[in-house]
Amino acid sequence: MFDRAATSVYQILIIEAESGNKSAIGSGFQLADTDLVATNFHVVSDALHKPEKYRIEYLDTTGRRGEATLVDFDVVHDLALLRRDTSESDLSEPDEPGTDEPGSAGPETEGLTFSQTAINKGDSVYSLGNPYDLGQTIIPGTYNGLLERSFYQKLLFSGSLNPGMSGGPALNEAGEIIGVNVATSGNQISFLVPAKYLVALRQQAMARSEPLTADAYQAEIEAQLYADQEYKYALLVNLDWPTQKLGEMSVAGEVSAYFKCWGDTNDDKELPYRMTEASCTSEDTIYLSGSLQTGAIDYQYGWVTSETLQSLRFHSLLTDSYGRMFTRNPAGEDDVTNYHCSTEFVGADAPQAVWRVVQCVRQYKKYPKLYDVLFLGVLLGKDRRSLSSHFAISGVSKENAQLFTRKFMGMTKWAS
Amino acid sequence: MGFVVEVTSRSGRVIERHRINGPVATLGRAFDNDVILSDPYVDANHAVIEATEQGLQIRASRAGIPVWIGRKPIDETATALTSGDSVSLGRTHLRIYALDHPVPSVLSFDRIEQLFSSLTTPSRLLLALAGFVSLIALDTWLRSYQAMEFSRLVQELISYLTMTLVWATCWAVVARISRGEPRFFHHWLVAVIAVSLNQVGEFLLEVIAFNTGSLSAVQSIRYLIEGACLAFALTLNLRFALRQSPIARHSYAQGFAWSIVAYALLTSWSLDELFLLYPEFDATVLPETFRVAPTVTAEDFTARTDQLYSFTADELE
Repeated sequence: MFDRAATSVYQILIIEAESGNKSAIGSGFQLADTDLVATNFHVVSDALHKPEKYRIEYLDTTGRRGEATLVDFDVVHDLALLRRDTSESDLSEPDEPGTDEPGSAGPETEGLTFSQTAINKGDSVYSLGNPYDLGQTIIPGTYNGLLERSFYQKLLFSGSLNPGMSGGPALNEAGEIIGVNVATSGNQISFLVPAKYLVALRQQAMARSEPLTADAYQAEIEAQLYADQEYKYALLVNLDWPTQKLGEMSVAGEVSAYFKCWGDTNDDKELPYRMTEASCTSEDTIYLSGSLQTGAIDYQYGWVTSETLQSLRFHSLLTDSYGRMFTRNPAGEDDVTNYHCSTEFVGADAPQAVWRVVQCVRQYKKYPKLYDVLFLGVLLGKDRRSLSSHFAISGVSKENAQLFTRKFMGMTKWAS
Repeated sequence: MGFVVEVTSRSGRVIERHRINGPVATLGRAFDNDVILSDPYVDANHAVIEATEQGLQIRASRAGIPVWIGRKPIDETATALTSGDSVSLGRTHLRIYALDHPVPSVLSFDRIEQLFSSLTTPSRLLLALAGFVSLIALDTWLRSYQAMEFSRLVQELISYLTMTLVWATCWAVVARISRGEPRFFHHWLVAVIAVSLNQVGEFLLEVIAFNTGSLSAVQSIRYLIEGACLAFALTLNLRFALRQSPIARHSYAQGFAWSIVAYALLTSWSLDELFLLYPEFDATVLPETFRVAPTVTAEDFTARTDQLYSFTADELE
């Protein structure tokens, strides 16, 4: 299998223009019946964002090296298509003399074809790539089904993907593409992008009347991110959110299977207070660049009570726990604006109670339809009992952020 | 015919009182004077005070010896005095009274007066110290929600006491060199009052922060409060330490304090332009009774936060 497939697999190198050396590496593979090479978006993102600083090159198994250009991408599913430039002037000679005639296009490759048959849990899968720049490698493993609890389907591959293998193909026993290497959590837990998204991207690239140019990259990323968040938030906001009881409050439970929820209670008898926390996160983030990932949705509640703390001291505790909540998607100055924040007191449904709410918003500089939004609420007016509520959403339109905010606020009610 | 000569401190506190029964009294360091002064800046025979038919008069014993009535210098020419006038010889302060000078009517002597009249300087010092320590302890306790650790309280107290004692010591040294009177207790009390006012200001700031949530506004107000406390302390410390006109004293104190505030504000405003990874808001939470800001409905909240999504072209660059 390795011999059959290896000629279709390339190392993808991101070359820093000034030094002429590679700044990042990944893998890619030729698609059959096209001149297109598939890889991950995150492998080539530097060259997309800073084409004046980085260029894309490929290296085949014979050591033949040449430039490649970005043809199309699917930022949400972390896929990109490249086209190899095989004109003679761009080809360097192979590392080992005699392997091929200098100046030729290298070994003929038919490219890899997509699997047309369903894959089952337990089936063998072979992942190819160039880990740690060590050379072409094949990694055997097992298919373990679709990753559940995720907005974006991924295949669970029980095999060891390593840095440098991103963008390489994952093949079935017949040597057909079932997915694209994308990420690992270590300990033989790795993830593949399902081949169906690559099929869709190939169709999208071939259907374009005008090739995608560098000037249009950012607009294309914004369009893809915007469409994705429209789909995601329409799904979320229209769901009937389950509730759960937290202390004397009713709050949002696990909104959908796409969230992972955790809980804990600090019941140390020595402490003069008791705090129960519940938090939910969606682990679906979209890689845009080394400094910016987006798409995360987190929400969190904290129920605090005290029998003994004097009122001002109890509120010092709230100040501390309230101030610790923040968004978890750091971004650079080139990516986002500073936050705009506003503090309001919002009437609560409980008698004599009021919410102190802080909402903060920042805008994406390159994708101005999208925002990161932070919400912090703390319930006041209930003697030494309080609820803190918090959410952070990223890469969302203003309309969807406001819909989500209303829905989130409406879910928090006095249960007693 | 006679008059009364009071030797006072610079602040007006009476140190000695001499009743002169004749029409003339001489003042100076020499032992043959009627009023013997121990100030090294006072001449052996410095001045002469006379009670005449026209009233009280004073003159320097000879030319070139500094004598002031209030802030007006005089020479060996006899100059009229009004009963109650302040006179300075060298670094000695005097008040001169005619024998018929009226005195205030008697005060009723209640329990509180009795208590205060019985307080000696060490007692007042201890009282001020106890008040200060209580304020710091209360502040530390209210800001903590963990069990109060004695070591933490002691640490807070030591840091505040060290700060005020060092401040007072510096001013006392200046006062000793300049005026010959260190007045350590005065300077320390000024520092304690300034720190206490600042602590009260901090609590007011928390109320503002709780109601507005604006970290930058709160920071600016904090600088103003700290500036006011510094200006207050400097004005009083200068008054106790140096001989200056009130205008000069206020100019130095206010000018120095508010220059620091202006520098801090400008620095803080220039930092507003910096990119921040995390949102800048004030998380202060106080009991609902401290809320002054009005409440809004959830719908109004959405409408009000609409403006958060408006960013200028400069921000997007």
